[in-house]
Amino acid sequence: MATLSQKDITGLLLDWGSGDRAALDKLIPIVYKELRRMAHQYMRQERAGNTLQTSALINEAYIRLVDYNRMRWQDRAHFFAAAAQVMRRILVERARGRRRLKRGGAAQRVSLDEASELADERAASIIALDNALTDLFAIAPRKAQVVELRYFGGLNIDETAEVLGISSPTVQREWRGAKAWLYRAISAEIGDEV
Amino acid sequence: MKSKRYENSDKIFEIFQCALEVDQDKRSAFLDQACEGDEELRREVEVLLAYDRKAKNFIESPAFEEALELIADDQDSSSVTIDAVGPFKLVKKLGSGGMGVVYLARDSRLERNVALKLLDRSLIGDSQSRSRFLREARLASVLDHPNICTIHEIGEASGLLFIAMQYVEGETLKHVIASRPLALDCLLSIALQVSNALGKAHSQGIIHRDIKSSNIIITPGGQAKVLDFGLAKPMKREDDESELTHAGAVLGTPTYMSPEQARGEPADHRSDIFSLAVVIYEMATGGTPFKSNSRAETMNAVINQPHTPIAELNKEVPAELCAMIDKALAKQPSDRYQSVGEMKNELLRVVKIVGVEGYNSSDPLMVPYIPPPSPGRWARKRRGIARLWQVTTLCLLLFIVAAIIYVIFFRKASSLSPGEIKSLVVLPLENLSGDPSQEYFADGMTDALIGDLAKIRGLQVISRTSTMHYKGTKQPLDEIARELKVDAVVEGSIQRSGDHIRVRAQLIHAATDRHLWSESYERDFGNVLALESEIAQAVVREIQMKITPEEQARLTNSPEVSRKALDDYLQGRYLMGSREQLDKAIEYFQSTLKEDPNYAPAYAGLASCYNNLGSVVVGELPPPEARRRAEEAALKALQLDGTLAEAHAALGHIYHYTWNWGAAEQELKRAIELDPNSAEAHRIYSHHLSAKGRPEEAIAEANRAQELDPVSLYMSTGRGFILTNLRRYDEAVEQLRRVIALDPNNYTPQWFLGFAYANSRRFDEAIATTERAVVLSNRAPGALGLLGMCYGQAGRKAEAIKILNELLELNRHRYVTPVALIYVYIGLGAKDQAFVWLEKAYQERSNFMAYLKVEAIADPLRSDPRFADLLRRMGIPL
Repeated sequence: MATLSQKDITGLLLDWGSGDRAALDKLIPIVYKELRRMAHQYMRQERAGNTLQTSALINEAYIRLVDYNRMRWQDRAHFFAAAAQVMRRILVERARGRRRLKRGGAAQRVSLDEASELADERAASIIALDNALTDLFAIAPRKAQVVELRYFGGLNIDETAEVLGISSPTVQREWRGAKAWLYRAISAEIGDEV
Repeated sequence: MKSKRYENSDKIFEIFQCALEVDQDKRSAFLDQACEGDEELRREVEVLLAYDRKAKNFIESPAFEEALELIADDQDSSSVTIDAVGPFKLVKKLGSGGMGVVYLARDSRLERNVALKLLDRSLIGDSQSRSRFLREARLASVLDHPNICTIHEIGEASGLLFIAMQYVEGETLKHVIASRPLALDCLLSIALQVSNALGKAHSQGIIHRDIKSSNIIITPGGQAKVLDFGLAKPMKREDDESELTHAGAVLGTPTYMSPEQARGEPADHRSDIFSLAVVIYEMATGGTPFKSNSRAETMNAVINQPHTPIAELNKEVPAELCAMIDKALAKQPSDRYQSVGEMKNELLRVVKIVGVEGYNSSDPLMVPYIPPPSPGRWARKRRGIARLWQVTTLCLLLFIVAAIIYVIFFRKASSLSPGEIKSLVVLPLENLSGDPSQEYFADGMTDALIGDLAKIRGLQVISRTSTMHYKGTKQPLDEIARELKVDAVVEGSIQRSGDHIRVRAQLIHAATDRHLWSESYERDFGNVLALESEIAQAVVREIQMKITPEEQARLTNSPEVSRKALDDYLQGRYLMGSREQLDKAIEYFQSTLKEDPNYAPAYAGLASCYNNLGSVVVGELPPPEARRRAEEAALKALQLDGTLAEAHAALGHIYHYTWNWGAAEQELKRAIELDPNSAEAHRIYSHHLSAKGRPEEAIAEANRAQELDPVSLYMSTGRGFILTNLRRYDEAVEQLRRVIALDPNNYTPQWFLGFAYANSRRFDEAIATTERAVVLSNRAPGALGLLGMCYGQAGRKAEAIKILNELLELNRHRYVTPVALIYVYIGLGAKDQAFVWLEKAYQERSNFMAYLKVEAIADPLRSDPRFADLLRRMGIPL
């Protein structure tokens, strides 16, 4: 069983790497499942006092899921990218769900407590960021990738550089430009253009 | 403005990047220079720089952990990221309930829509209760009844437990009631339909336990379909009270619960009777009998308080119906009706008293569908003289068969045909009656058509299992023909409205898409019989010269069989395809024979089932006992109908395993001669040939079986077995893995795959696969033995010995196939022990022995004189 799916995932990663978009759609549920399994594990460990190392976690998922012999280093990058996309989708879907809930159920909810108000704000900003990031991808794909890996994938500058195969200073520059651009896009959406 | 920003973005970023390197006080000058007077550009860069200052902390702390936490407590993962589960592509969410989410999904293999229920894991719990759940649900999936929503498949994919059900369009009864009383005729129709469904389930020992109005779907045509059979039960374990408090139905709405359920006591079929009465009460009054503000109060009312008399809420309900509901709502199970049948009789009495339109008292099984007021309006008159309809249609079909044969054989002779037709598929006839309950009937007729055509030698007809995969398909005909590798396609439809019957059929040449023959028949019930038989005979006369007299006789001689018998027979046929459900299949065949003791095909079916029960894979019966029963049934079938190919095949199968080598080949050849299109006969023959060491012929037969029934996993698995036997392991692995991809929960192909891996000494894979087979088969001894062998050969002796002990212990309580022990001992290299158990296998003529000559697993023993002695005693032709 383990070997079977390992091969499948390896194949999917290779397909995605060679430009097959549909492979990503198949990949995501698998990665999701593995991350979920690890999330549980992590939550348990956290209580025991361990701290989270994002890249270690994704690496572990990677090792568990793929057939190492067939992979090239680019494929590991694809895996990290897939993991980041999973995280992005989860947050966005959840935020959208929250918004729908709010719209549909507003009449019944008399008072919103502080926590849920906070969560609503958070949902709005996640959705705004997601939209802006999609726009950014259209004009500067690498900047968007850096954001995806860093913000949703939890990687630091060096790790992002390694995954994307570029230097750390380049990541640093892309990151800064992307942040400014995104911050502006979001502010424009919310309506406080400078 | 926005577009400008996009257009220039590379330049903007570039200047922005450089500006950051420049000191604050020199930036303005830098920008002047860099932007070369492009004011717009300059403004963009400046805005970006302004935001850069603001964005210092923006998105600096990753959302990864936040997402991880969401994932960790994500109960409904499916709604988040998953858009496909196994072969099912999720189309839209239909709703969610206590047990999980239901989606409209598309089965990509069969191109059909299904309702896919994804189960909430928290309700299923540990792996033990999960496997129990799967078992129960599979049991319920056997139910085939017009008023029960058919379960197509249960399984696990993408880490989710799913149930794929027939997708029924309609509204829940709860919705239909919408808090108003229903019209009496509509109420009675639905009540009768639901009680028919419950009657069927109870007769098979399946209790619903969660009957409620939101579990019943009413189609626009007024047909009621009960959902979720077998799903509530495993939530509650009768023997474990602690689990009751936080499980299943007790968590669900208590409104429909019986008092015993509310008390957390064991609930039998009489609990369903109570819940059905609650539903009828709801239809009669618009509200449920026990309803309070809180769960606790409702449960208290269910257990202790009397319900409000119906007469107080709706004066129009007849007293007889009120009395019936009152009785069924008795607090004590012993005070209620003791069976759904009793309750239904009472309903039928009410029907007679009030007089429901369309109800035919001579046939109480026929319930008129009365659509609820909203969606359907006038589809009132339906149903009726089903049996006459059947006879009429049979005659029509006979005519169609004859006409097709005429076209293929006669017209071909007169060179009108565009190409030779040597193979064809009969696609499921479409039911245009607007009455879903006739669906099954249209299928039965398709089956009859296939059966008749298949008897013609020289014509290859795709068999039923493969054909049915194309039911309702929108795939182009030439594509289907290509997939099935046939020359021609027969398709058509059956429609009945009132006393009118219309059958349309056409024969299409696939390669040219030319209609070779097409006809539409419209007849009245009254004179259709005489007319059709006349035409049929005339056409059959025309083709006489093209087919043998024997074929002619068989063609015109379709056995008369009652609908009930045919129904049971077809169910048996369906179930015998799965090794897990042989017992059920046997029950159906026996029930067919109770109805019609002279129906030879049912005996042949029994023979096949018994043969399989004695196989190493199933291992339910010691082979001699299995074969005794199988032989008895096969001979009985042949006594009734000496031309029954299936019976000859079953007999050949028995002879094959009892080393009656000559007779076996004779019977199998006879079976193929009688029905050249029988995939099963070719499959068994391929096994036989491989055992005799005739590899080329064996693989040819296995290929033929698969060609004839390309979608049947049984045939594909058989081919995998043959390839393993022939030591063509790579091909075997490929073949079996393909089967497993289609049906991951069937243990037989896993078993054979483990076998193929073990033989090719790929032990890691063999172990992984066989472990799965062990789990899926509920630790069947054969699978355990194989696993033990793999462990042993992989050098994991301790684990092999553990399995050996498990088998030896098991052997003290039940029949354990000696083959299981042969495997383990071979794995452990214990030759002498292996021979002890080989001798036992010889004594009981285990299936394994038939293949001894070619069996790769036995290679380590081959040089021993005891081995040669066994072969000699078995008389295998060398």
